[in-house]
Amino acid sequence: MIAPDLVAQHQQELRRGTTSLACLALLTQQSDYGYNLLSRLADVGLATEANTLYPLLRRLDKQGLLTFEWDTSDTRPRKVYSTSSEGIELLTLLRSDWNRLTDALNHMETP
Amino acid sequence: MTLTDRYIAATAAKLPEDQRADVSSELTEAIGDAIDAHLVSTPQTTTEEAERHVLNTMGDPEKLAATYADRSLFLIGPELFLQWKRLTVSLLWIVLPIIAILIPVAGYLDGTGVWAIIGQTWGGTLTVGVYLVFWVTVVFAAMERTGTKAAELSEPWTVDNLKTPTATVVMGDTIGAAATLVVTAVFIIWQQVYPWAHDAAGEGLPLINPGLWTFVLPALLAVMAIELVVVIARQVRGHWTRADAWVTLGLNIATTTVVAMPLLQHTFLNRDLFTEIGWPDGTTTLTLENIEMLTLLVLVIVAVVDVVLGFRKAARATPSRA
Repeated sequence: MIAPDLVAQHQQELRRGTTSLACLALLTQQSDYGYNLLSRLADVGLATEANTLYPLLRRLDKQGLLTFEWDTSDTRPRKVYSTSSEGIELLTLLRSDWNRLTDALNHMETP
Repeated sequence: MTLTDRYIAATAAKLPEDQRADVSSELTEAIGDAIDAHLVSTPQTTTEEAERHVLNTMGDPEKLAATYADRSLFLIGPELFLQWKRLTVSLLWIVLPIIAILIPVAGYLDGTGVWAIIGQTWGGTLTVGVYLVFWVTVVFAAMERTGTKAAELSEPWTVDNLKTPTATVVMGDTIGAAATLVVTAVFIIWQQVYPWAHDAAGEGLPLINPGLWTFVLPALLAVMAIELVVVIARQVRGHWTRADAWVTLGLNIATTTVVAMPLLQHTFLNRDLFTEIGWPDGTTTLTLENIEMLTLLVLVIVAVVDVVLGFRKAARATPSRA
């Protein structure tokens, strides 16, 4: 029986970095604002805390990987993000990396 | 002012000026959306309860601001930690022994009492140590925040940095040991030949009891001569051996035993000299017996350290065969 703490620690290490990749991918499919993106991430099994996601979106925007527009159609103004062309370029690179890792892991023998 | 307003203000206060307005509107959106969603998912809660729940989930505003500003939540990170540790440890090793010697010497010259000197030495050394660690840490914390890289502080590590397992004999150690032996021997002879006090009849009064020249002092000088030969032979050979360590043990036992006899019998110091110069007098509680016992204590400590270091160096120089 593995200690739950140990499992959580390794899962966290494995998932680090996947949130950025998932954001770039989801925002390529469809532009979105923070809260809706949180639920979309949760739906695909990559649940993230709000206090992680909002700063992450801002950082990706600063890096030129996302763009945003203020949507003022509702009573509450919202930042609507979409993946920039550079973001799509990076996403393609990261995706091929990810697939290579998946292939490599799948080729390893399991007990 | 609502809780949300206070939360946003607390976060913004910890952000750089140019990010405040933007992050504040972003947080208004984030918190507002989260409260609405919470009210929909759990209809029985009040707006206040939902607000408290959402803000608790968002966590410490200062931490959130640090995430936004990409600010590190540690004083010294892994990049500089080893440089910080090495500098702190080596500075403590260099500075503290010097302080621990300077303070009692200064106190002794000022005529401070023994207990006061001990107190001042402890306090002073501790204070200097605390200051040293504090300022080194402040400088490194500042470098951490200005993005200094480890490579800017020291050469990158290569295999050449590995310590050689066959510990060679350090020249400084040999010179120090030889000098100590020669100076001690010269002093023992000199204090007999040129005594600095004379009695009424003009007869010289050496520091050490002249009666000890029948056995103890010649024996001591002989052991010291052997020690000198061993030390020089070791330097010529270039490394420590097991036999060296055992010889060191034997020589230390011999020296300590020879000197311990007169010290324990309180016949080491020349009583005639101290009667002549009238010390210790009424102004001190120190007796000649105290001085002899302290001398023995120091000799035993020095001998133990010498033997332990000898065996350690020998163990490092000769890897144990499995």
